[in-house]
Amino acid sequence: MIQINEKSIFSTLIFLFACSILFATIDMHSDVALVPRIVGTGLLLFSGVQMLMDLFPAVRKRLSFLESKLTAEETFGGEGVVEEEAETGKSPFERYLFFGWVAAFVALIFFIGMIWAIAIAIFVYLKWINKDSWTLALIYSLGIALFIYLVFVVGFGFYYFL
Amino acid sequence: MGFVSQLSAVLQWDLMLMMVGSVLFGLIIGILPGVGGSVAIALLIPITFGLDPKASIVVLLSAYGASAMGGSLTSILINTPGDAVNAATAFDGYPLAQQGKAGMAITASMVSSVLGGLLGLMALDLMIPVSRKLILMFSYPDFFMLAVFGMTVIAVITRGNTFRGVLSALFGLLLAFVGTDPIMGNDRFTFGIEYLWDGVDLLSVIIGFFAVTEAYTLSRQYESISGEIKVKSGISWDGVKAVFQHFWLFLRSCFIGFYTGVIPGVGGIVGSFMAYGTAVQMSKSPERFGKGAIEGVIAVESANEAREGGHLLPTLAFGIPASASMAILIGGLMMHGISPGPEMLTKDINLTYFLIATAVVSKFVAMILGLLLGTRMVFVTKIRGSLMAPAIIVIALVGAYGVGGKMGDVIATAVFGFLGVLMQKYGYSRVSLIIALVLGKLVEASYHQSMTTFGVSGFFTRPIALALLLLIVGSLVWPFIRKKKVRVKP
Repeated sequence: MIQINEKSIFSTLIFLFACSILFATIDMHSDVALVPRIVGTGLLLFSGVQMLMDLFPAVRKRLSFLESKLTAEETFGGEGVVEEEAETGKSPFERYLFFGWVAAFVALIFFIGMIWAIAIAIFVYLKWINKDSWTLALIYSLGIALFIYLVFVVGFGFYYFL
Repeated sequence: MGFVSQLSAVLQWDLMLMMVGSVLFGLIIGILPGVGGSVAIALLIPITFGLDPKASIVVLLSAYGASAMGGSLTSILINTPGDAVNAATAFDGYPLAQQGKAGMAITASMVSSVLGGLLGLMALDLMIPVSRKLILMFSYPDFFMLAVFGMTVIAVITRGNTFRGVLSALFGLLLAFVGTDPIMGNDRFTFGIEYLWDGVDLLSVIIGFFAVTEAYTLSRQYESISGEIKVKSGISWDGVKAVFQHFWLFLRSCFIGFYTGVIPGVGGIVGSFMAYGTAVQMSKSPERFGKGAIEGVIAVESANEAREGGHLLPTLAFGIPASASMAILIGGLMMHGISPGPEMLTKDINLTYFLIATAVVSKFVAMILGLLLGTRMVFVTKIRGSLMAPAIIVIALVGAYGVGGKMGDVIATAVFGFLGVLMQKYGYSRVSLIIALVLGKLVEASYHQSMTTFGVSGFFTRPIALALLLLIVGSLVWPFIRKKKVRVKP
């Protein structure tokens, strides 16, 4: 049985990235390609195994020793990885809505400039995504836009923000 | 003490003004739950673009140092650590606050933080001459092995899955190879995208991975995390006295913090929990711990701050970042033409001393501001995360765009933000990827230089390289041995 979900798509994309890097080294001078080839082969192997584990539960079961996570007691600790958590149906929607909003924000910066983009993007986020009041959305968005204008345009002279 | 010579350079009114602003920013960032020093530096790097290198050092180091102190305030007052390193502070800090001794706990935490930080930085200063001698013994194969060792240790010890930790490091290395190749000078792995000719922008990756990812986490907090907090600001002399009454505990914790900080990736949480554990084990009345023992707060906070000196040693001397925050700091310094590595202990030694002097002075500024304003700043925890998230995204994108006015940087920040969220969710290590991205060029350059100068034998015949190779193998095998050992135990 094949399992296609966000997790397996993500590991497949890393695998494809490793493939494309290795493919790009074919035409390169051997010295230039050597180190990327060594690292790329490593990534190809690791991401390949990870992809197979994510796509096929049977493989995951067989390679369970790779899947096992060190617990907080067993590890030295360290910053970084948060362990997987169960998701409700709402979580992926929230994630894509949030990053959809970020993408729209980036597009607005490109088309109408940073300051106006901030005012519009924050207003949209607070009013329609966060479901806050009109007053809060308006004051907050204009306040932040004004703050960025004063600090970066007036203060630092970043005129390309306009 | 070399840093003393640079104190006058730090104590300039314009730099001090910047320091105060950065410390306040660091305290606020530290107070925000889950948002630590890494985010503080990531958000400030773009603002330092218009500053000279020394002013940038002041801004970045002051905010970084203050963030850990801010985190301890919320640990004590509302049982919510600002950062993972402050988690152990809550064990005894919060019970003390419940007993009406919040002022004492905060003062003890601030004083032990400052003195611990001071001791850690003095130890760093004293170790510079030794490190300088050591570093002169290093050649290309040794640097290659050291860089690989730095990556493997971090990949292996980041909490979670070792396999995906190594995978993340390999991914980061490949990203580091994007751009111009070091031998022929041609573009490599750019896939026809002109923006990638200069390589993957480290700052965009850092802001995306840390600021955007944290903003996403905050966006899902629809309730504020704290209610009404009532505590007096100012110094509680009982807190000051407590630090000196437990001076040996304080010294021992500083020692633990510093030496765990020197090992890449191991400091932080490990140092603070080790210091807490040792304090419990060596106490005559261990039953008091967890119920409001001031020793618990002193041990954790002094170890936390002493680790900064430890972290700075491999970061400055070898260019090997000891933690995620140090990787980001390296990114910020590189933006100003400062490359951490052997030259920081030779040619740029005064800059290193300036950096230490800045860290020392900022500790005192952070203590004063923390005691005077810290408890009032905890109001930020009353703001719900979903309201802070869009503001953090604005600062992140403004920062990315502000550096060079390139839309490519803004797009890269958003892309790496999304990637960071997925990596966090599926147990990949963002820290390993960042550190590999920083070290990638060193790995490739030192490999080619080793092959040209020594050949393959250089990696196996030079004592330092060989010792490091053994450490690499050991660090990769260790988690599996440890796992087996834990299973065997009844």
